[in-house]
Amino acid sequence: MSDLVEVRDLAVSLGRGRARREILQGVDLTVRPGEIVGLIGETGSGKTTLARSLLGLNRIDRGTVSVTGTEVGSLRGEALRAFRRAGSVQYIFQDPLQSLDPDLPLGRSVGEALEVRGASGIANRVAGALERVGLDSALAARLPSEVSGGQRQRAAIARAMITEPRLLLCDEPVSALDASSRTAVLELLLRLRDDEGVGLLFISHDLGSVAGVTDRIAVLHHGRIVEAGATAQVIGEPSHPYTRLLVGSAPTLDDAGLDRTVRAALRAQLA
Amino acid sequence: MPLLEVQNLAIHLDPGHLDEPLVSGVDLTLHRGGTLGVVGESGSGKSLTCRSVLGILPPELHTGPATSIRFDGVELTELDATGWGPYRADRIGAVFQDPGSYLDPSVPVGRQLAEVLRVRGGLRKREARDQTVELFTEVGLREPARVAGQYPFELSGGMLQRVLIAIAICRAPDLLVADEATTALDVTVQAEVLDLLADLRERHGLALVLVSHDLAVVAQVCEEVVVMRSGRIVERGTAAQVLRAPQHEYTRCLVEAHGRFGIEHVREARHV
Repeated sequence: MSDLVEVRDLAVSLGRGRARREILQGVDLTVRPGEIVGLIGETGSGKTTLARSLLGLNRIDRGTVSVTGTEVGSLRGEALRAFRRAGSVQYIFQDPLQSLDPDLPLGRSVGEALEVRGASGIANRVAGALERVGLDSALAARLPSEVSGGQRQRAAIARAMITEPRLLLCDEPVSALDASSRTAVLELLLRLRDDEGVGLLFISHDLGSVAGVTDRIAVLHHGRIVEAGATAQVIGEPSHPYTRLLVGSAPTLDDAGLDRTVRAALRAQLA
Repeated sequence: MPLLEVQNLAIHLDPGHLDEPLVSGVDLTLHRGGTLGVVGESGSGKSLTCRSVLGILPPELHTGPATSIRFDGVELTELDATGWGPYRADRIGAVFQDPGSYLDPSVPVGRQLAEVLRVRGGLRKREARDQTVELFTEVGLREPARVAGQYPFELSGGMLQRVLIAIAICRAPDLLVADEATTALDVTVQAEVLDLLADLRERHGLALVLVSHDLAVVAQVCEEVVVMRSGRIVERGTAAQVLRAPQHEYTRCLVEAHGRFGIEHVREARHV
């Protein structure tokens, strides 16, 4: 099967005239079916621009962006809308209210894509989708404001999964959740990968809280991928100074983090 | 004598204390130069606890009749507004989550610190300006003189938090309270600010209360840790005790999450 995401030598600039800035330079990124890849980047790294490029929302200067076999970099207008409607790629936001309508019962939001397509047996499929993410189907009648933050994020995942996507783009999917719902949502995403073979791209600033679920990690810094590889490799033997600082800055419960003076030296090196 | 000793802290909505308290039975002890971490989720009462130590509880809330908060031997709960004068900001400094909201957007940040030095420290204009640059250097702001002339919107979140830390320590307090002070920051910037707090503590013997939802953040800096849930302390001990042998179910859940999904999980798997 072909790769779900195949980005090669991507360059993107934003802004006009003298304000024009190169945001991404020579970016390569691959997500294979059934794989969880972490794209780790901090404020200003270009991760949002990269995520938007995967949805065909940016004009690209150079390179190719292939998502579930479609070259999205060159899609425009109706072709782009048709690609998105097909639902082979879905987006999970940090705030589930980005995809759930606050005035719509959860069941309606979850089944919306089916409704648009005029599918039949929607109620049953919505109930099935809710159960698949561990929500009682009775919650279909509730508004987003009437359930917990963790339940809202599950509902957003159910809404995404109903089109049977091959790829989920998860943008800080657990950053806004408290510790207990965080664990539950990460477990759910792992299960969707194991049971349904969906590929996941985790876009996050927080290596520490998602490292354990990823197979591979790519580190984005100032618009370039400075390091990429198997998660254990990148965390165990980071080679780029920024990756070393990033790994050594994540608060951990073991005593294996970097010393304050080592971090200070790395910062000086990167400045 | 401990620097800070909180005994039987209760916080009520009812001025007559007849309601179910929002916080109850909280005891804390912090010695001069010591570090205490307070961990809990939103609604655990950790911020209310810290606000009562700072004397900035919302006006509709009241500490209980048996509550005692002693700072350097003085009972803070008995102080009136004038009595608080030398304590709040002078001997007890504080920084919070959203540094931008504590600064005036229309005044350069250096002038805002200089103003504190002039009003509270009685410094003359020139002295205040010099000391501002010194303090900005101390908190690790690069090009401190240039930063002093900049407005809050020109600075990053990490720089703003450094400015707030400079303001919080400018009167050489004995205690600094940091309530979710690194929560909104990127991970590498969070580490910079935590390292700065650890440096300041070493250099000035500053005692530190660090409040966070993240057990790992607190464990990185603090020797003693308390875990709060629903207005009560459910666990306390040295950081090592709490991390290695968590007793309460909630603390175990926090520790397990790190072990299963965090960097620790990856490191452990490599060594097996």
